[in-house]
Amino acid sequence: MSAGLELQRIYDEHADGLFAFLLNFTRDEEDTRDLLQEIFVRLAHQPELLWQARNERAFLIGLAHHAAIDLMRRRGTREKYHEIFGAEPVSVFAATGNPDELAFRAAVSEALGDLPSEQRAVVHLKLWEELTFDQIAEALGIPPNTAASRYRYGLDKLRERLRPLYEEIK
Amino acid sequence: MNPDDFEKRLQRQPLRQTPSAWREEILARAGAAADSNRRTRAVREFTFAVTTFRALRSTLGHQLSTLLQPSPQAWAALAGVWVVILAINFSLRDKPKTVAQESASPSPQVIAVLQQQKRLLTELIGQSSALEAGSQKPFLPRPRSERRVVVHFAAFGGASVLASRLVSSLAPPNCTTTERRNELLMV
Repeated sequence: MSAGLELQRIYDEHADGLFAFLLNFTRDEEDTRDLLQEIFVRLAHQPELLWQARNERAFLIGLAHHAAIDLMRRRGTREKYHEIFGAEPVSVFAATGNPDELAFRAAVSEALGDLPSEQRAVVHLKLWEELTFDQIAEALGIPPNTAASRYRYGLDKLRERLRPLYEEIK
Repeated sequence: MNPDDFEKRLQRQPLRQTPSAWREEILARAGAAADSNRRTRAVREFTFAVTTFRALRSTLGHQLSTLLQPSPQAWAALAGVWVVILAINFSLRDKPKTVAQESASPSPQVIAVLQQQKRLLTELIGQSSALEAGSQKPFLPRPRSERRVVVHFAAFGGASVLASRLVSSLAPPNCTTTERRNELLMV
């Protein structure tokens, strides 16, 4: 398979997952596009990066996470970045015609945005990528116990924050 | 609130998909990066090869100049000797070929002389074989020697009688048997 076709395959299989993760992590659509492009340019430069990956998706998410961290460091302090994110709320969920669902998705997206980025990354990978804690730990470069505790803390915060709305629409 | 239900509810929320316009843009940039990467690698490999070749040539030239610098005349003389040796070697190697070529096509005169010599040789061989055939004698068995019989009997016990006969046969006419026996025993 040529390099172009291989890149197309990787994009078709993983672009949506990477997009959602990066959008949830950065909370900015332009940054997400830049990071996604950066990842694929890097894969074009070094196609051998994926040859040794046991789990392609987890490996690509690891690349995306590192790229996002680098972007945050380039931009300055993390607090400053959070302020920018806070100024521009973004929805990570698809649009829907159901008003209750739409409200719930907006609330979840906002609650996710209020989580620390480390917890948000773990919650996203556990809930929507359905990775194990070992895979999350490998992708983010943290111990599995740390991944599990971050997930528990993050989920508790979401539950506390969304309890009234969830009870209402349940 | 049941935590499992809450997690399942969150999981059911569909995430946004990548904008479709991004695909072409991102893949085009990645493809351009791959092309430039290939060109860069090719240029880098070519540059490396040229640099390596130049370094090797420079090193070889430096080593040779260092080696030949102290006595260039001696190295030139050595090279000349080698040329002479090689020339001699090649000239010696060529000679057997010419000999083989000459012997491959003998002249008619040489063939005639060889045939004449062959005829003479055949005649000579025929005469000598006839002479040899005439000089051959029939095989006649000769009588056995007396001494061998004496020795044979001596070995089986008639030693004293036969030994005295032997001594008497070997002794001169004016010598007694006893004197001759003592002389032989001393020997």
